Parts: sequence; structure tokens; C-alpha cells
Amino acid sequence: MGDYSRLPDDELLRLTAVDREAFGEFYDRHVTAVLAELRGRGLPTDEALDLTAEVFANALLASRRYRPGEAPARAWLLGIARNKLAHRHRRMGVEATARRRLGMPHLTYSDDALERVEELLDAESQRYTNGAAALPPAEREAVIARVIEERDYDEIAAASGVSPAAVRQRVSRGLAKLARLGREEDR
Amino acid sequence: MSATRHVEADALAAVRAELVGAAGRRISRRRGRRRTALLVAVAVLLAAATAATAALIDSSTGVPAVDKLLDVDVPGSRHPAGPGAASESLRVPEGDHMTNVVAYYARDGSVCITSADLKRGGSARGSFGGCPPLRDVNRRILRRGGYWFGATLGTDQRASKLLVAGDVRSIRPLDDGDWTVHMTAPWTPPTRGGRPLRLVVVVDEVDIAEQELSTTTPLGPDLELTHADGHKRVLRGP
Repeated sequence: MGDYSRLPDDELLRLTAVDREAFGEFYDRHVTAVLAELRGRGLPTDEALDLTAEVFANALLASRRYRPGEAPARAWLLGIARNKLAHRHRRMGVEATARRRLGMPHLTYSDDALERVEELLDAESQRYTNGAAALPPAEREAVIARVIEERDYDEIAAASGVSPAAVRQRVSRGLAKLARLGREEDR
Repeated sequence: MSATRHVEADALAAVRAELVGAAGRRISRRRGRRRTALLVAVAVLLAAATAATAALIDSSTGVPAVDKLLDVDVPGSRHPAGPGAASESLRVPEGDHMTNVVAYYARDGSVCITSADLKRGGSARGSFGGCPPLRDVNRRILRRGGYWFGATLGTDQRASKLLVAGDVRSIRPLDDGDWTVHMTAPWTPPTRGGRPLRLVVVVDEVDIAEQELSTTTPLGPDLELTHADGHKRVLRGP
């Protein structure tokens, strides 16, 4: 229907009710983050992909109920991912309820396809590492420890001698700066 | 899931294609539904099917659409405030529009639940969820935790209405679905023996294909009720 690349996430979710490509743009924007989050929590790539599909299927079903202002859309999406992950741990399997309701098939992947996804995630992680070089030292260390090395806030806090809240703030500021840098690069 | 598909090359593009396809199917279905309006919605009366009529209530419910439906005319008072014959109203989605749901105490000693909204021309549309005697409602709430009234089931939504005790503080649906719980403040029917009650509407924004819609589709979930003193009990679904 139109160029969605400049629209904010909440607008994309609202437009999902009338144009399917709005959800496509939303997916493009966040799929790597969701996938990285799930793989970072120890899921093998094929399961992380399976769960990513379920997370987005849930987001599609719930898109009409998303209210901007409650939480940024990415945080909302990652919240769904964490819930689904907890569900998987409890029941030892990836849930498929949302995909079933949407009539989506179950996808299986060739080794080549999985390898490509791993390459993409590695490249993304490399982008963070490179971008982190532009951050102040404290923020750089916090972002690398949290995002690249996937360490807990408590652990990072103990190692750097500050409170977990301070680490969270450094990670949050660092990621915001990286996002800004990314947007400038894209222009 | 309906089938399995093997992806050889681009996994992320394959997931994207399935999601965008699903989004498109939802849009088409919704457009089709809009054309057929409420054709596929079925109303199911769970409680006593006594129709609520104008003669059942003397004072306004506070909701113009409901008053109009019940033919209540209160001179000089379009929106009487405060506790009275009716509970406060809940504004909830019903198909492609919003409606107002209210519980009220009728002159014959029964408790009714009615939902209504005003159409563009000013006429009211709505439905009644039954009018059981207040003593039956109280008894069942004591025994089971709640009293289910009407439920509606459509391809994009199922909703159930019920009354629970006034000291219920929170409600958690226990079944699958994207349930939203709407609940009024406690309201006491103005009669001897009237106990505080809360009107509840639980809504699930489902997405059921028309061919899958049947009378066996569960109308409402089991609910976990948490009371003011902290104790919890489970109310079985309708």
C-alpha cells in the first residue's frame, strides 16, 4: 500500500488490520533482535527460528490490542518472546497455538538455510561490536557484556563494582546511541 | 498446524511470507465479515430466558442506549448518578462496534444484564442476557463463585457476561486465548438481601475460521477469582 519504512512501530501495528505489508515491515525491523534474544538464551538455531515464528504469530494476533505508550513495540515483542521461552521450558517443546490459529504451516529448514541465519546473527553481533567502539568505555563494556557476551546484569554489576541498576542504565544508553548511529548510517 | 513445509534457502524470508500471508487472510476475513455484519454471530442464553422488558425497571440505568432499549423514561434526569437500580456500565467491544453492558435490579426481584448501544440514527440495538431471581444469583455465587449470564460467539470474538461477589479483587482467565477482563466496581441491588456484586465481561479476540465455528467452541474460560482476603477459587466456564 505504501512506504512503511519511515512509520513508527505502533503505526505499523495499527495498519496491520488493513494492510498485510505493514506487518511485513514490522517483522523486517525486529526479526533479528527476537532471533538473537532466543538464540542468546541457549536455543539451537532451528528452535529459535520456530519460536520466532510463533512470537510474531502472537504479535499478529495481538496487534489490535497493542497500545502505544505502554511499552515500546520491541520491548513488547521481546516480552512475548520471553513468555514463549518460559512456556517452552515448562513443557519441553515450542508452542504452536498462534500459528495454528492463523493456519500457518510448520516450517522445517535445510542445513544451508540454518547456516545463513547463523551468519546473519554473527554479522549483527559484529555490527554491535564495531559500533560499540564509538561508545564511552563504561557504556561500551556494559553493552558488550550484556548483548554480545549475554551475561546477567547482576554478574556484570559485580564485575564492574556498580549496582545492577547502573549497568542497566549504561546498557540502555549505549543501545540507544547505537540505534541512533545505525539510523544515521542507513541514511 | 495444518501442514509442514521444508525451506531450502532463506529461512527468514519463508517465515515472513507465511506471516504476511496470514495477515492478509485475516484482513480478507474481516472485510467479508463486515459485509455480512452479524450474520455469523450467535447469541447463546445461558441463564433463565426471561425477556427484560420496559415494565421491569422504573428508574434509569444511567446508560441512554440501555434506557432506550428498556423504554425507561425518567423525567428531568438523563443520567442519574450514584448507586441505584443499576450497576455502573462497562464499555466493551462487540463485533465491529462498542457496546455498553449494565446489570440492574428489576421490579419483580430478578437481576438482569443488558447490553446496548445507539446506532447512527439514534435507535438502540442490544441484547438481554437473562433475568434470574436475585436469590438464585446469590446462592450460585456462594456455591460456585459466579453466575454466568449470556455469551456471544463470532469469528473474531467470544465474550461472556457474569456476576461475581463484590469482594472479588481480580480475575485471571485460565484457558488459552487472548482474554481481557472488564469489571465494574461493587454494586448492591437495592433490596433487602441484596449483597455487593460485580459485573464482569470477559472478551477473547479469537480468530476462528467460519467453518470451525460450532456450538462446541467453548464460550468462556475457567476463571481464577481472587477475593479481598486473598483466598482464590476457580469458577468453571459456562
